Amino acid sequence: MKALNISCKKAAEYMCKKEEGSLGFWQNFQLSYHLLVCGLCRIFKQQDQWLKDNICKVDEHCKGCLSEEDKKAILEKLR
Amino acid sequence: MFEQKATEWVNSYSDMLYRYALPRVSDSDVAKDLVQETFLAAWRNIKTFKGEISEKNWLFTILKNKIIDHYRKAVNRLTDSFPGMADDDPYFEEGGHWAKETQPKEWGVDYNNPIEAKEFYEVLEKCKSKLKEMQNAVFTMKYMEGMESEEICKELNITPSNYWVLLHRAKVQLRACLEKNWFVK
Repeated sequence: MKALNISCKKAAEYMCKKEEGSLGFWQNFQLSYHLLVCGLCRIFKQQDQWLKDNICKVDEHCKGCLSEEDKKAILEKLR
Repeated sequence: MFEQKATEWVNSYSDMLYRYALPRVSDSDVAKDLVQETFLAAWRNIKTFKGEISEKNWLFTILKNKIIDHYRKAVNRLTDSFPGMADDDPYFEEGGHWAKETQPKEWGVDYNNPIEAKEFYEVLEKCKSKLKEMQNAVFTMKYMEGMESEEICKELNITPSNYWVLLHRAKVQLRACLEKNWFVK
């Protein structure tokens, strides 16, 4: 059983690797077991997935724009 | 002719290019510089533009390359170890279990739905800007640019083990920052 146990820190790293299929069979087994017994990492996994799904929405909500001075400066550089 | 074209470009595309760059580099001055460099590079190469893609897509392609160049320069500036790679990790105890004060807490949201409040995305941008530059670079290239890990390692000239540590630490820090500043105040 001891060989099955991994820390939460290691589990967070394995979750990253699993996304890209870079997790070996045994590591995958260790991660699955850890998630079964660790409620905190189950919460982390759910929130991590939600964050990845929503990060690109930052683009939709970014309302910044350049000032007229900034635009003039670009035009000056282009001349 | 020149004046008209340049003005048309700047008026039509500068704001959207800036809005693309800003969340990726998390610094308004850097974002402005990258937009300016994008226009300059496009202007210098306008004769090679064949019109196979739209002007807008062409400018965005140039900007994306400029953003990756910016990250690459950030890596090259680091002569010693990467910030964000140190062994001490405030989010975990010595044995690797969650530190008591940073243990994930339930957010009380429906994880199947996005949040629409614009204030949330301002907090998210602020949290992202607090990441170490290298962590931000790896996180952005992976999740905002959709690049594969091999490509990111190659572009930034980092090892796969550095990549995994930077990425998972970026995610742990970002999650904790959102929890502290939005979900569980």
